[in-house]
Amino acid sequence: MADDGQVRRLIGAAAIAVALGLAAPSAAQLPLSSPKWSELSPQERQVLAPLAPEWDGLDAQRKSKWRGIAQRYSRMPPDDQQRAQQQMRPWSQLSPQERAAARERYKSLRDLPPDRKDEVRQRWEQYRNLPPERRREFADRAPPPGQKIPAPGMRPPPGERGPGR
Amino acid sequence: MSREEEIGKAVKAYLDEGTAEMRSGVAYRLQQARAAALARVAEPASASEGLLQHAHGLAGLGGSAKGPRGERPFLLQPRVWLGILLLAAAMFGYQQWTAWQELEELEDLDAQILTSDLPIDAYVDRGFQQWLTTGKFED
Repeated sequence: MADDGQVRRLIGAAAIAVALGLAAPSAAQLPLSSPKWSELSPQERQVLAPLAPEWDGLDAQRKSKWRGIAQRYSRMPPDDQQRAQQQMRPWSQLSPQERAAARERYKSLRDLPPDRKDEVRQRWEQYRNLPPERRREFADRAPPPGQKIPAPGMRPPPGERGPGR
Repeated sequence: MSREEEIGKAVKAYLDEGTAEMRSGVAYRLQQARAAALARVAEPASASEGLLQHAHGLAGLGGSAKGPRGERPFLLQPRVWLGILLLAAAMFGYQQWTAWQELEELEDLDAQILTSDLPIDAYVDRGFQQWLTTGKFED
């Protein structure tokens, strides 16, 4: 059985190993390639065409992510393919903070039951038809960026509260 | 015969009487324990080494003198460094694997958002989020 000295030496050795492991290139530093637009395959260039103007300025991680999406593209139904290409540029032009917030928002809506999802879609259409000043009012009332807005599923159905529904 | 010798003999006779009735398994274990104790007594240097290591914590960190039995200090032993390097490599590998996983999850999530029924604006428009949350539509 190991005595105190042995245990301490082993702990010391493990601490050195941990320090070495952490001192190695951090997790964010994956060995990713960063190909130029001209270096992409014809299939990738076709799928990622909306990103062509800004491609060379993207960092390696974002390029890797987009190339991964391009690989999935061929397995998507045609409707999804079309939608994905339409959304690429607006998505890419968001700031990192906006993308992070949008991902959180998407995750909260993704977990809603199907009938609530339909309702969200309908309400988006209604919201888009509101006069700009009304939309601005809602934006002004929203909590400041960074503060989480609760998912709609956590509230009673809007029909039970707001007039005019 | 001195008084101490007399007492010793009396005790021996008494102990002999007790051990004669002892089961063989117990006698064997006692014999093993005695042999182990004698072996430790025969190596006083190793006992003092243990005490020194205890006193200095990670003994072997400093100095290059070999141990009393000709061993290298702990941290100068190749097998120790092999273990350290293996552990460090395992940690690094785990970090890389986690980072790849995160990248793949991000890719998956972004692909879902790009193909979702709602446009990107719906996820970033705070007015819509507020309107959706409060459920007030008073026009």
